[in-house]
Amino acid sequence: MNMIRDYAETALLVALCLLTAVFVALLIVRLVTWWRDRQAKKYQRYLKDALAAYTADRTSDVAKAYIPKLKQVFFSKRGVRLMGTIMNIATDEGQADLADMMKSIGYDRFLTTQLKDSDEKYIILVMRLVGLMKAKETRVAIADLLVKHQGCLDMQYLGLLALSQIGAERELLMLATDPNYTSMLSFRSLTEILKAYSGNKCLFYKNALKTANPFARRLVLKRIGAEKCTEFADEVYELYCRKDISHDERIDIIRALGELGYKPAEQDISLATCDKDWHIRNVAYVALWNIAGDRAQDVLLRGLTDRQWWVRINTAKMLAQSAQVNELEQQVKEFNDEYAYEAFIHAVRKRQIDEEAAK
Amino acid sequence: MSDVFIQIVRIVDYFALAYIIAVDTIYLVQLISAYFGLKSYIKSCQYGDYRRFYNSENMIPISLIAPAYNEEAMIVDNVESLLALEFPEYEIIVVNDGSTDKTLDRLIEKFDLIEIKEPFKMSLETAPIKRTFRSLIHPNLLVVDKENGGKSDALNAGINASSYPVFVSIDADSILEKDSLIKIIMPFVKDSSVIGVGGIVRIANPDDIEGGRIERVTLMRNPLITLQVVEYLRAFLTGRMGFDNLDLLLIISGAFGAFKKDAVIEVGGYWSDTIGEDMELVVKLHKHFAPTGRPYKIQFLSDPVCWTDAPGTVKEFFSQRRRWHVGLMDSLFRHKDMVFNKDYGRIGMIALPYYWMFEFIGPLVEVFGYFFVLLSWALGLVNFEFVLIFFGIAICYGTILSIGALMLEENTFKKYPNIGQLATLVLYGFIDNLGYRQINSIIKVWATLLYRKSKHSW
Repeated sequence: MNMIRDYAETALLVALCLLTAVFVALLIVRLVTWWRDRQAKKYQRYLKDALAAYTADRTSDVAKAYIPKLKQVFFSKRGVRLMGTIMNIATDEGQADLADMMKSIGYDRFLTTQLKDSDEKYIILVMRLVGLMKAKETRVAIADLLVKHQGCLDMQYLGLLALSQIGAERELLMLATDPNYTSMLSFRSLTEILKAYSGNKCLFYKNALKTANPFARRLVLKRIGAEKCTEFADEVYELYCRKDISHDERIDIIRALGELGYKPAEQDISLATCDKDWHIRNVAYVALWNIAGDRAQDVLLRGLTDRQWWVRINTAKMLAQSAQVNELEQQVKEFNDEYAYEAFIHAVRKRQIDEEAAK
Repeated sequence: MSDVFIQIVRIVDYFALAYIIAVDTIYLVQLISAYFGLKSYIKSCQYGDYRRFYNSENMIPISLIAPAYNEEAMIVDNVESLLALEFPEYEIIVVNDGSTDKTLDRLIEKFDLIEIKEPFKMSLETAPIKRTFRSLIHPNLLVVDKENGGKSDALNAGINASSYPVFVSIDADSILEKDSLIKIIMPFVKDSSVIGVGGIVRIANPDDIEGGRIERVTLMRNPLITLQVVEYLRAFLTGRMGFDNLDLLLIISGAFGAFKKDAVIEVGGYWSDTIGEDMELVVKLHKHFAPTGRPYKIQFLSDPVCWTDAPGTVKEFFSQRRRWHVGLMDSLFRHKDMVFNKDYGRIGMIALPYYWMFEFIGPLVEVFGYFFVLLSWALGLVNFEFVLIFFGIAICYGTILSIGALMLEENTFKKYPNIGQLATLVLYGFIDNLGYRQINSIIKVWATLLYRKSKHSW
């Protein structure tokens, strides 16, 4: 018991010291953050003025007068952090203008040197800025860093995004086709990365479609469908005819063919609506509607009675877009399938509500 | 007095003292862990790139589920605030859980609701659904009118009605900041193994809310509410953040949490038979996923903010705290098989034993400790120095944690920028440990004693 008491006395002493320390620390933090915010606001205003002068006439003396101070403030580690904060609050247009101005005073070259820093989070911030500035000379350094920091999810995402914004086709293809670098990232973030690609998209998609990596192919398939790149429709269809494609890839191909409205694939997709896997049936009914519309009514009506709930709902959504909704309702009624009828009526009413709300 | 009695009282006194030192040391570790976690999080916010997802088709579409029971006073404002959120694609599902007031009428009138039969996929069992409505003004607003079954049941009904892969549960009386949704969903976009993310809950002053938005942040005059402001900061910025940084998170607040729908359906949804559904769900997710070896993550983010109402009267406060503690006990009892079970990793070996020892048993030891130490002093069994040490440690460490939480807040989000507000919060950080914390512990003891009687009542 005496031991506990001794410990307790020490603990109380420590607590009193800590309490004083925490209180003092709170005051210091308050002062430091106040000063930091004041400085940040000051430089933000300065940057805004510099940008206004630069946008008005980049060769004017007024614009040039800002350069030394800009270099003094932003060409440092703290300056890079401040730039990151400013980029976060700037509009998309403001970001582009700012990137353009900073690039004109050699900020991209400065950032390239910062990629050698040892702080992982700082490097990621630099990568983000490099991407916004489209600093092409950093492509190799970024690719090397991504190889080196394979386990860092944030770096993988922002590094690949930077490469995409720069338009670094070779590095991006090399990394995207290697599962070591892409398996950590979700499919959605990878497609977002590709969306930002600033290089020759056609060439990139073409090369990616030819790779042996199904994951990379799936990524571009999604973009091809979303961007309606009809020039790739034949190649996408060729992929569909291959026997070695995976289940997920098959789904993406069917979806892409539907989004592209590729008529030669109509029969194959119609057959896919009978597939034993409901995910494939689901996507096939939607694709079929996109390709054939009311022409495929008979097949789509079959989808309304599918045993999988999602297939019924999605098929109903497609059929609700038909010009012959009333006739279809009569036909569905004759099925004597209350679930099919319920799904169809709901889709039709939902569409009416959406149209009314849009008005 | 017999020697044996004196010996027993002394042992209890010293046990209580040792216990208080242990629990405060753990809280200190949490504070330090939270400091590093927040530091890292703030750094990552500098390069955070969530803005590009505002208008992106690659953002995960989500369902916002807001259970409502007798919320006629605030429901319209709250739904309007949800409709004003910035997010590319989302639906709002208000589940009217058998309200006996005019909650549903208010919604029908304000949002031009029309009845429509929704074909539900009944993945989870719920009380019967009476009707469903869609808004003619906002096509993404769905109102489900069901028989009363409690909050968990309403959430399950919302999950059944939802069309998207991720849902966010939110209290109908809470207000989200404009970018809270996108911030809380980003982890799901980046990492497919994330199954749950919790945001921070802060206490709002109703006067600061205009048009369903928080226009400024001020402190209320009600001391009970200001004490809760400090307590929430400590609980979220220190407790949750500290535990998240150590991968020990067991609670995602029911007022604001996002979950992957498939994962929640896989574990059977919210347990209808409990009043602490938020902790229950997270423990259940750990219990289900940890032994399978499937990668999964449950995270806490200190940035996406949800502003909520705090109980302003002692009666409401007592009732809320009793409910919270009963909910905690309920979850601990249900999952006692996970404690010290290696299959559940850190959750089984550290987090759950911590909750048993310090969150459940802690208040009992603390209250009996206070009582015994004072009694011992009155009986002359311990000297005044001992009493001073005992209360000194309890109060000093408690104050360190409160002021520490304020320091974390100052160093990061600074929602209370005014120096007067900071001074008030510091003052309440001191007062917090001179009665408020002790009352809280007494409520927990009371809730423990009445557990069997009150475990199903709100």
